[in-house]
Amino acid sequence: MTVSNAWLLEASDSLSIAISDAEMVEYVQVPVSFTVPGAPNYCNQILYWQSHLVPVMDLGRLLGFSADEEGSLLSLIAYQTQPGTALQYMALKLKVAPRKIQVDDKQACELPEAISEGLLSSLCLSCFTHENRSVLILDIASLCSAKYRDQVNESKSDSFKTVITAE
Amino acid sequence: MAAQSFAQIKFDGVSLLIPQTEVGIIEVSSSIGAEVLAEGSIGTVKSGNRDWPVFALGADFQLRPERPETYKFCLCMNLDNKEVLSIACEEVSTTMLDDKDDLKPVPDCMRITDCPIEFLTLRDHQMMLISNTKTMLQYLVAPEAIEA
Repeated sequence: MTVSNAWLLEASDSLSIAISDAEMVEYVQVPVSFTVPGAPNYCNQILYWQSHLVPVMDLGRLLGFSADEEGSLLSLIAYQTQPGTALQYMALKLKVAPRKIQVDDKQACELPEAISEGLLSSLCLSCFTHENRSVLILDIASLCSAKYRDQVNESKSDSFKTVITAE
Repeated sequence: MAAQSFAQIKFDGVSLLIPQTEVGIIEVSSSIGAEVLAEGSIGTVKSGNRDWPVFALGADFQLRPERPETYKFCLCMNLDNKEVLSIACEEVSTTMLDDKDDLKPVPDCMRITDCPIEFLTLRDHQMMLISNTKTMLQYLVAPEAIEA
């Protein structure tokens, strides 16, 4: 049995994801972010952090839930587009503070049907159960890619909403 | 980058920089004529035999059908020395950008296909958006207009 450390991130009431220790950079409680006109509504804020302009992703809004305008918690996440390349950064809007958890192989589960049939499925690397909830492990680099942005643009927001409320 | 001069315009909370070399003239909004030369424009600035269709934009770069009262100036922009468009705005000033300004491209996940913003930079706790006349023309006017 392999036990791994992970960070549990609650991106919305209905969506939890997990990232590794290596991916978690910082937890930001009161971020100073700026609006970028014309950007997709789920990713129209940018955070200035250590000389980097870091896009802020609101997965709840991406999935069609009502926007949480009060939310001011971010998790700063590092990723690479290819092994050996420079670290890139993105920030994920959170409902609550991240929690460190331990995950073992026995917790692995199938993707919820609603997820596997939706656009998020292309980002899901795996899934496990924690406290009776499905937790997704996402390909962060793909989430931040132009390809995924285009995929979202082409999709209907209604289909996203269907996906998650079915959990 | 070598130091470069930009016209800085402000409208609806947006601070947009356009290369100074692409600026034709700056006019007051009272000089906007009613003639509509381009779809989506709110009128035309005329100077001699030159015409600039005027566009009014909102905070999300959406076209406004009318000029808000606070938009008191028009930045008239040229492409290859030909007048192409004008943007109505609240303020116009000049600023210099250089290596210290550390221009960043718009991240892939934020860039929509017709986004007119080329680069971003932060100065004095304010996000500045950097574009140019060709990109604004592509965004505001039919692409074939560029070839005209």
